[in-house]
Amino acid sequence: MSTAVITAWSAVSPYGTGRAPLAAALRARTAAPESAGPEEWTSDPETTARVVPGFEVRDALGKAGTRGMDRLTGLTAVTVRELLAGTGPVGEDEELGTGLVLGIASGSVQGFMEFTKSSLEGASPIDVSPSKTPNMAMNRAASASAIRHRLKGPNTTVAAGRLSGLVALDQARRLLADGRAERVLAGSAEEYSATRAHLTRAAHGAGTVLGEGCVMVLLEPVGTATGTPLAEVLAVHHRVAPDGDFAGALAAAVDAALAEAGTTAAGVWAAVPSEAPGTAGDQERRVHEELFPAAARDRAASVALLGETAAATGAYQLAALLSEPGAPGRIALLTAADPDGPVGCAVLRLLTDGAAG
Amino acid sequence: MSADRTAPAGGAARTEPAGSAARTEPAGSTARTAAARPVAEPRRVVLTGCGALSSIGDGVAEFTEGLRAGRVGTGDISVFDTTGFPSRRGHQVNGFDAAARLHRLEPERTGRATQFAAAAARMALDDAGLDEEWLRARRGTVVVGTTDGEVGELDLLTESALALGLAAFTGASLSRTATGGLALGVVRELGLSDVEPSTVATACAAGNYAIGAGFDAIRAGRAEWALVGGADALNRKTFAGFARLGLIAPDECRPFDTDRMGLLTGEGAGLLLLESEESARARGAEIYAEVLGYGINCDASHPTAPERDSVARCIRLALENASVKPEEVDLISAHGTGTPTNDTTEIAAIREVYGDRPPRTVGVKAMIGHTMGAASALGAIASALAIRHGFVPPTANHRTTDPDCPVDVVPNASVPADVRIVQNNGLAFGGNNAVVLLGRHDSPRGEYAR
Repeated sequence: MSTAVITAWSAVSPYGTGRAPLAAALRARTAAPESAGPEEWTSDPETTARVVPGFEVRDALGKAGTRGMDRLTGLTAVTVRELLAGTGPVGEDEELGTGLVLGIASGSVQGFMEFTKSSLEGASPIDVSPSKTPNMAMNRAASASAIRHRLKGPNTTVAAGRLSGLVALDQARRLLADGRAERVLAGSAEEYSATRAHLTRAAHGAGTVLGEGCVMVLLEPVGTATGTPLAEVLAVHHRVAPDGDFAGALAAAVDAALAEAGTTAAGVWAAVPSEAPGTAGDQERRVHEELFPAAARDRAASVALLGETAAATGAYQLAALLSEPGAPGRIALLTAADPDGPVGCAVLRLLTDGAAG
Repeated sequence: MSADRTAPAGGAARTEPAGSAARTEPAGSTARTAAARPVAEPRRVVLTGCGALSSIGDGVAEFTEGLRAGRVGTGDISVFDTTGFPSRRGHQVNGFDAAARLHRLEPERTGRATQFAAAAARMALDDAGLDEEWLRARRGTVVVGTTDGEVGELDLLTESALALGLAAFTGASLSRTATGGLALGVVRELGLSDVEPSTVATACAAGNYAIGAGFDAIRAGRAEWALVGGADALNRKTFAGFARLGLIAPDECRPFDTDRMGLLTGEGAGLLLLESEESARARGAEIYAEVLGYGINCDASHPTAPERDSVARCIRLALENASVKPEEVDLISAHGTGTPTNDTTEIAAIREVYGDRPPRTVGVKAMIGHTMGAASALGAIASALAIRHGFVPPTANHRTTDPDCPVDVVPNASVPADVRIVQNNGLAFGGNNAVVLLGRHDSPRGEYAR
């Protein structure tokens, strides 16, 4: 497949809004600060998480068209705004040619459950908030971002658990390779919520510290990129571990991705795992230890600094690689694993010294 | 133009860099399966297996008969408590025996939408005359479109949390409610590993998105087969939302009718087995139809209302991608929800492309309800069946065609017809449009009876 290049990226993270605070913190290996999550149904005031501090959708985006908008959509829309600052589509041709692929886990679980709660508890089962009804579509974050910036190309929301960032990157480069868009914003997002915290801790342990945020990259075809290429996406491969054999399936995925990228494990400058919870993560680390020397494994920041960020993990791994200084041309690799079985690998060539921003 | 099926996918496809196809086989366990490889010429993509679950029948045979008979599957919803709702009518899949349909997934540990997706995938596999071993020997892709994923499970969790408090959240709840579980459920049910699952959550156009993703993957040689389509299960959250917006019809869904009063929510799944024409011919498979192309775009305009010009643009993208001229299209399987806004806007968009004499345009949602993420997948299956069996499924429940929807809706009774090319529409909240073009595949065996 013809390759695509990343020409810009941005984020909303626990370190703040935009690329710079995230890049600086990742370079410095600073763990994201913990603070209390929003007050909402089932929230526990004692619980802290690596949330985007003080994030309120309407403060961040203004009052127009944001009434009732959920946090996931807000985080995504702010990231898209930051990413497009100064480079948004100009004129209808660019609007039509600009796509967006967003990876999510399950949308705004808190929003869905509160909507149902209103239906169950109201005087009538249709006593639900009309302003929250648009949130009930899981494509809300991607489509609201498109509406705000006139992105009229393919607009895809993809759900693949902790692989969502990697799968979004893959689908975006396919849209370019197949000529279905001229450029694509790709990334993944996760919101912190009280119910997501309960779901995650029940599954992965009471000590799990949750994180949230959104990272988006701008992807363009290698031949026609208008921005400065920061990285070339050489390969993405994902598959499913049968019967808990994460290591075997992940090793096969890494092999396939390295082969597609035309390189070998020895050529990898930095390798970043997804820090999956439980045995999936243990096996993911083992694969990295078997394939890559310590220098490559320790080269870039670990996404553990951000807490368990679920769907946003893969996009944060991209940010960690894009932020790490080094000689242009270095090969960077990320892996992803989901305790439910999916595993994957992406290989990039970093084209700048990584020191900017 | 129409003869040229080797046009670039989106009108601007790029050539493969030299050498990318000349890679040696990767070492290790990946060498077990035939790796999908970039191909020099785009491959033709054909549909060889269909799995359908709907209010008018389980399996492609029952679905075909239901469409031909104009059967309407409306009934009272019983999968959740409808007490107090203005109406309890909808399109439920009744009598679904998950334990009988599923070989590996355990129904008691699996949400209803995932059960539907997995069961329909198995039906499609059987219908294609294939088995799991065949899939395992080749790199494949599984893409399942959905509006709600396992929101029905979140409804249950909400009830349980209101009753029990935090004890409602168990170790299995996260997996069980994950949207990505739909495609993963298909993979688990079929015991696959060298496969890329993704669940596309582009609301009510998701089924067509999934078909498009599978089409591109096979066409470009990234996959040897694709199991694609959509699935959704009835749930309180979405029923309450549509009811609150006043979009639910009191009795029946009547697309394009003067007196249409809205949609009826439905559930079900449509899964399609796609492969290359070369693959289908090599194994002597019976071909329902060829996937000729598709278009996707975004209105980027309004959260819930469709935009005419943008929908028209999406239809043109699909026609161009399929190298089909408007006058070659015999039938449109419309999104046709039966809401006042959708139907008027959709027909205006169709007329913008087709002029004053658009092809017959039918709304199968009158029969099966609005099955959300499954809707355009079931619409695609209905389109393929129209081609395969030579009939146009009707727009049921029809009384008087709205003067603002001036098309031949084929009211109430199917008609025999020579159907060669069908356009299948999917339009979603958020302005996510997807249009798929299916065409008759002139099998060398020259027969269409199945």
